[in-house]
Amino acid sequence: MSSVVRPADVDDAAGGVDVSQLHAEHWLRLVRTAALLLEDRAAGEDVVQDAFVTLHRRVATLRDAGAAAAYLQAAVVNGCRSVIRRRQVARRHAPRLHAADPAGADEPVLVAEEHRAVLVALRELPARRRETLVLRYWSGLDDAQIAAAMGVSEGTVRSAVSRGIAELKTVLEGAR
Amino acid sequence: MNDHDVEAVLRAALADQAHALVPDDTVRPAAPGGRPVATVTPLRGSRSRRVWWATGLVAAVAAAVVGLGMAVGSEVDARRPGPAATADPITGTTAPSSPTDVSSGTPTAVDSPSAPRTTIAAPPVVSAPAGQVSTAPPPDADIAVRADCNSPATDVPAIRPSSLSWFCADAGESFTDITWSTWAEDGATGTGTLHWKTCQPSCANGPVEQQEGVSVALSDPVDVGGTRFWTHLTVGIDPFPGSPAIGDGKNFTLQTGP
Repeated sequence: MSSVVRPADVDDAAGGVDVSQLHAEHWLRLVRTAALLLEDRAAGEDVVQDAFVTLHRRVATLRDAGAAAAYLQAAVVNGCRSVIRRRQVARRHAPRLHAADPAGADEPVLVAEEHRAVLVALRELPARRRETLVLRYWSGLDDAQIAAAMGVSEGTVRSAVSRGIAELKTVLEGAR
Repeated sequence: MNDHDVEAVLRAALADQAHALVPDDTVRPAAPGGRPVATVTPLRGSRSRRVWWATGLVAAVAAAVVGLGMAVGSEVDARRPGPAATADPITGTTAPSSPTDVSSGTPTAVDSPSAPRTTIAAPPVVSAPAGQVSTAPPPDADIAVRADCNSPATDVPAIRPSSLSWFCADAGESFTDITWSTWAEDGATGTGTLHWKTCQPSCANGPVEQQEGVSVALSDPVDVGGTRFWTHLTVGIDPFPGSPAIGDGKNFTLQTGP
């Protein structure tokens, strides 16, 4: 039957890491994480698909599905950073194209003014701090997981979260 | 406003933004080394979606060829007793069709435990054109569900999660690609793709089966520390009818805390 994932689809040689299953379970969440970091759904989809392709190539080196999920999260964060770096280079060389670039056609109209304010404030934060807050409050990762995904220490994560929340709090209180 | 208020606003704003940027009905491309789970044609998009377009085109051509063949043979099939064979438009393999009411010619419920393990196409999702404001649906009830007790990253209260996993030890049964039709005070309902481990010959090595278009319902909310959670899950089919290990196989009690 076409709906059955047969044993052949499971990579037994890779300690039971099933890329198809990981794709089914994590794809949407990772695309949303990447879309939040990049503010662009299509670019986010590309980053996530690239991460899965890389995982597929290296699956034999991973010990279990938990390690694969952590690998994917880190690969998506790194992929998003690369996209942002490329955008920054493009902006430097073509400033007029982006100087008046509005928020983007895909950006939804948010009903809640408070949500809008916090998202605008989030966008203004330094990139690493913004990544930390997205991974904490959207992806639900703990300090250790964020540290692993971003390649920083847990102390750096805690500091970034604390400072980020303090800055958002200032903005929200000013908006009231 | 304290830090917890800021965190709550940020969490809600990110969830809104994430779902607005990437809606629940977003088409997931084929996994590397795998095959697509649905055939939906995107209008525009990224590289991965362009790959999907090519995949869908090939599948559509294959389906048209197979459909033509079925139309030619349908008169003969109608006279045969028992279910007719249908072809999978993606793989080209054959599988038993859904049970059909011969008198009316309409298919019977696909949620029946006795229904064959075929992939049932989910109903098409129609999105409003960009820029067009659609009629606002009623607001969701403020009742959450712990969407995935297998992963700390996703074990957070969620409303309208796209996936649901409630076998905390081994993800033995789970939903993905859920489309919620209602999320109201008297219950939440939707449909999604149900995955279950066959555990044959063993749970570690046995295959995983899946069926699309399976109904899912949440009910019996309780208040836990100021947050309401659904505590009862009803699944449209029982993959293991008669198995004493998992009760009636359709009704489950959900966790309200880690």
